[in-house]
Amino acid sequence: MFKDRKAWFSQSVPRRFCDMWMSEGGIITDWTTADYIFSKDASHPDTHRLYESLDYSKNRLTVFHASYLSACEKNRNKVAVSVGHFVLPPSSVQKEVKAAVGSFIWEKEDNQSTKQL
Amino acid sequence: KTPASVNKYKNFRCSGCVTGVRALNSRNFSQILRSCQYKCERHMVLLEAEDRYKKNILKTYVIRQRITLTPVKKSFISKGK
Ligand SMILES: [Zn+2]
Repeated sequence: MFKDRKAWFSQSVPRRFCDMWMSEGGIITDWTTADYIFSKDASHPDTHRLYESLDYSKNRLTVFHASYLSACEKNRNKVAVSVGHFVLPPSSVQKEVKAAVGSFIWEKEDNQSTKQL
Repeated sequence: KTPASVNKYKNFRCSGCVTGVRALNSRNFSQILRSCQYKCERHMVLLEAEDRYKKNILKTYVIRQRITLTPVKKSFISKGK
């Protein structure tokens, strides 16, 4: 599924997502060379640092929420999950977006998975 | 707006929504969204909020650069003396 794709994972992402990425043929690398950047917590220092980078402010970096990967897991063989709905912006941006158009898709995912547990 | 048109608008999917993971990644997502003429409500709000955040980051970069440049100049002058 992720053959030869380079990803970086924040420390906030559970280990099993990194394992899943690799088992699907993906490669794990540092954030400067990764094509996919995953985090679960915008305020984690390793993720917050990215929002202050020039790459981010010059529109060359988007952080995706790691629950995209669990959505992929669940939807296997079904219609592809849209990664564009799993953008994880800085906390202050999250607040603005939530106030205007409601919760993020990954908040629902998070709730579902906690309910399942 | 009639309920039907509201519904239509809510279900509207832009490039940010439909571009698959094979064509989209952390490096090009912002550009894909920017080049999409008709964005869905969620992606439009996200882009606007992000732009305000990014503007502030760039501002602090410029200020930081000025601060770090000034002492370098001074020390250069005093060495010259
Ligand atoms: Zn959209």
